[in-house]
Amino acid sequence: MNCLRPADIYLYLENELDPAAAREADEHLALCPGCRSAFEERRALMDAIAGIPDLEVPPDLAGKILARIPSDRSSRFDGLVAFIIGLSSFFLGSLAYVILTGQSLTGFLVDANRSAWGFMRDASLAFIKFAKLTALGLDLLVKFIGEMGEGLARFGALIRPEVYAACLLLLLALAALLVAGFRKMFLHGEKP
Amino acid sequence: MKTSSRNKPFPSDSVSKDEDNALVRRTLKGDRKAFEMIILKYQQPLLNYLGRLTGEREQAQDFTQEVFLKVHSSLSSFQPRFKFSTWLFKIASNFMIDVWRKKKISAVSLDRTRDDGENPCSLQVPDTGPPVAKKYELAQIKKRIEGALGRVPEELRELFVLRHINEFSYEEIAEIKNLPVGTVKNRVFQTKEMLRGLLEGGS
Repeated sequence: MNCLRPADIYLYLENELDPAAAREADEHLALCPGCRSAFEERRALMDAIAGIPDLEVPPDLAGKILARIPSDRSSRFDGLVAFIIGLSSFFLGSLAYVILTGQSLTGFLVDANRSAWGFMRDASLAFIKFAKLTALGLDLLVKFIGEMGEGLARFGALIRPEVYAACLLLLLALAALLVAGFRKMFLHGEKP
Repeated sequence: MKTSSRNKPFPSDSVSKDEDNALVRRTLKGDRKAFEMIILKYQQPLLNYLGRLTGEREQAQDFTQEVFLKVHSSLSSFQPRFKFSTWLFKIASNFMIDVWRKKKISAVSLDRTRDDGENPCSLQVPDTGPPVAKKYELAQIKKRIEGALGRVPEELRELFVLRHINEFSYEEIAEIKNLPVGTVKNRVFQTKEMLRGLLEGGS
């Protein structure tokens, strides 16, 4: 058998060589002083590596980590607390308003009820209008894009391809100029 | 003539895998005690790993906390068919990669090294001068190894630590680092020869 390679010496020391190779290494080491010396050298290093001590774990490490993890129960509890605080603030605020303004409690509650319903009604109406306008705008945009595509196709059929390409390029350039103009207007407040 | 292995309990068998999977399931159901058991089980190997990579005890403790928090928040993505310890160390390894990137620690080019595992001897440190074993006593070597380890490039040091401090198998390290087993073996070998060279050089 040839002399042992340093990589194989390490694998041998780590029990990573297959049994046949390990047996051969054993036999060779018994006969070859050079390899034995190299082996002893690596074994000393490996023994020293095996003796590297553990780092000391602080006794409260687990506690510190757990303290940084919010528990499900505490998050539910936090939600409940926030709700109670909110509700209490509302009642206390209402009470303070009634006391300071001298308004009767019944009158205040009726006003508050009316205001809340009024706000909800107005908000609902505004939302419905916004939704309708958005749908209309989208519908128009889709129709416009469709018509434009159709128009371009008809136009393309009437003229030569080179002219068509040139027209398209011109249109694109115009669009780019428009975009640049609007951008400038929005950035600097200038009119296009 | 076999070397003595580190006498440290590190989970590696199937019983441990089942235990880990059970602890993960319980943690996912909101059992904090189960996650505490995971922490107690892995805090020592994780601290050793992070400590040997950072070289700073306080920072290693902070990083250990951060890694466990990441582990906790990612637990739902853990697949029980994998080993929990390798999954945890993959998170730790990615964490360290981010740290090094943020600190802009220049990555040491491994292009010079041979990763094919075909001829690792070309990288060996020649056996010149008095052998390390004769030059220093074992206790001295241990102390000097810790110092020398800090001078090894991070990428090599990490693989060395995973192998010889955390005692992962080469296959497990390959899984953690997404590297071929041959590459891992070769790089760990390079690191040991580098350490030997540093010790021989009296550094």
